[in-house]
Amino acid sequence: MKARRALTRAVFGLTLLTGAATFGLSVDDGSRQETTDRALSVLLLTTLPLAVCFAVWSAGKTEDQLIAFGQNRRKSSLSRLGPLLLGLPLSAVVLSAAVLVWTRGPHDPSLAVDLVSTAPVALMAAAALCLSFVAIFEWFGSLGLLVLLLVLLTFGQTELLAAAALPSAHVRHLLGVGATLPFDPGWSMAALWLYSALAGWAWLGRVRP
Amino acid sequence: MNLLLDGVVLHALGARAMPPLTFDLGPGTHALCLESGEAAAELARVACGLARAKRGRVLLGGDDPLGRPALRARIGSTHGGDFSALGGKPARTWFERAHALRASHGGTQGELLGLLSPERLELPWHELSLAERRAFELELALSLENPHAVWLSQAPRLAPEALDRVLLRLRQRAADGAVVVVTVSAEREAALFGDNVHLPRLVRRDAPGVTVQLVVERPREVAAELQGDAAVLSTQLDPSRPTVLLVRGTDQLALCRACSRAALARRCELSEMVLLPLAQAARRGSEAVAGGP
Repeated sequence: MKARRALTRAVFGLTLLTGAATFGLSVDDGSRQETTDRALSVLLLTTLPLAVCFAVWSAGKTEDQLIAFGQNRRKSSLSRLGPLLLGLPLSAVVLSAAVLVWTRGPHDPSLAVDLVSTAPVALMAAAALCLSFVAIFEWFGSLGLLVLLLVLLTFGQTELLAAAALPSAHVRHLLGVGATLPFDPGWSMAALWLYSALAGWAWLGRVRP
Repeated sequence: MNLLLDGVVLHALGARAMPPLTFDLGPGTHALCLESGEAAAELARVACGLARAKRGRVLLGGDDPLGRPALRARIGSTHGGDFSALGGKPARTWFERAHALRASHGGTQGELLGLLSPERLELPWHELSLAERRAFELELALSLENPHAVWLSQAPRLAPEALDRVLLRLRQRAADGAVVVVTVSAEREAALFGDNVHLPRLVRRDAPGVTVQLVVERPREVAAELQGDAAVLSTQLDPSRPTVLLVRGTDQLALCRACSRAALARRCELSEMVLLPLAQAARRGSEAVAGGP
């Protein structure tokens, strides 16, 4: 119940922030391509981590009382956080599509291609972020969430090669924004899958049955 | 099956001044004196495998209940849990869910003690009063028929008749081989709930000349069968008026325990039991005094 409420609030906040940022960028002078790139960057690199952090913070603290009666803790954790892990990536896909349609206009000839190429990036970026935040919360609690958020919003936004240790650099590389990384974007997609798998493993490994 | 707490350190603010807790609790009733309610609730969660301790380990029959759902299913506990997750569904739904889960791990559901009326159980949990929520959690904990352990994070505060039923149930569980632990905040409660009393802090238990003041509302015959170095009291009292008894001994916990049992066994209504320093006790008037050594 609390996870769904947290998801609803996080998606609402994410939509508002994305709408405000996209509106602000679209009234600025600049090419459509530039506006789209910047709006997608704001969505996936700034507002999405904020929303994920808020949602995990809100939903993660609830304690399933059935655990006391023999419920498997991993199963409980999956069912409790499942709505977030599904809902936030899907919301990211829908919002990135909305941003593309808004900034490009519905009649843009390359819109369909961009929609298809952006959807998996948004999906994997959100999945990697969600699982990272959940794993960090499980290991280090609320303080860990704040530290990860700060790291993503500061170090993760830099164009240093070392930032490739975080998902943000790979999302930028896949979007074609900022300094390019010295490898094929396919590797960045693989890196996002790897982050998700490692974070999922770290999360469920920490939760005792 | 023994419950071992080995050097357990808690996160709770109230537990920071406490030394690491180490207890090896065998079958029987145990009263654990803790002053901090927050620490008591966290200790219950740690001991029942619901939360991690800051340091130390908990073993029930040699296994850690934190990673063993089957062990957790056989522990009846109260820990100030929030049962609001079912929203508007009736509170009794928790009994059905608990029963299904416990049954899958070999636990059996016994009869309820009737601490809450069936009508109140039809209400959602969040509509129950604080006292009813506590009674509800107590029912959940004590309805498990074949527990390995029962851990109550707070001594039940109930009407005398309901308290008798709870005490009887706790003793039945202990007699069946369960480790029964009740966390209490006062030594007089410890005497009521536990045959074995554990004090995490160092307390002078052998301070000479301790006096227990008992205020008996409806006295009949009171006989305290104290052991060792404590006083022996056996007297006929006037049942028409409340009576104050001063019982003197050297071991305050033994005194409290014996007096509580004596009063319970004879269904005297014990309204107050206070440990008094000797000098203060001497100033008070008393109806009957049993002198110790």
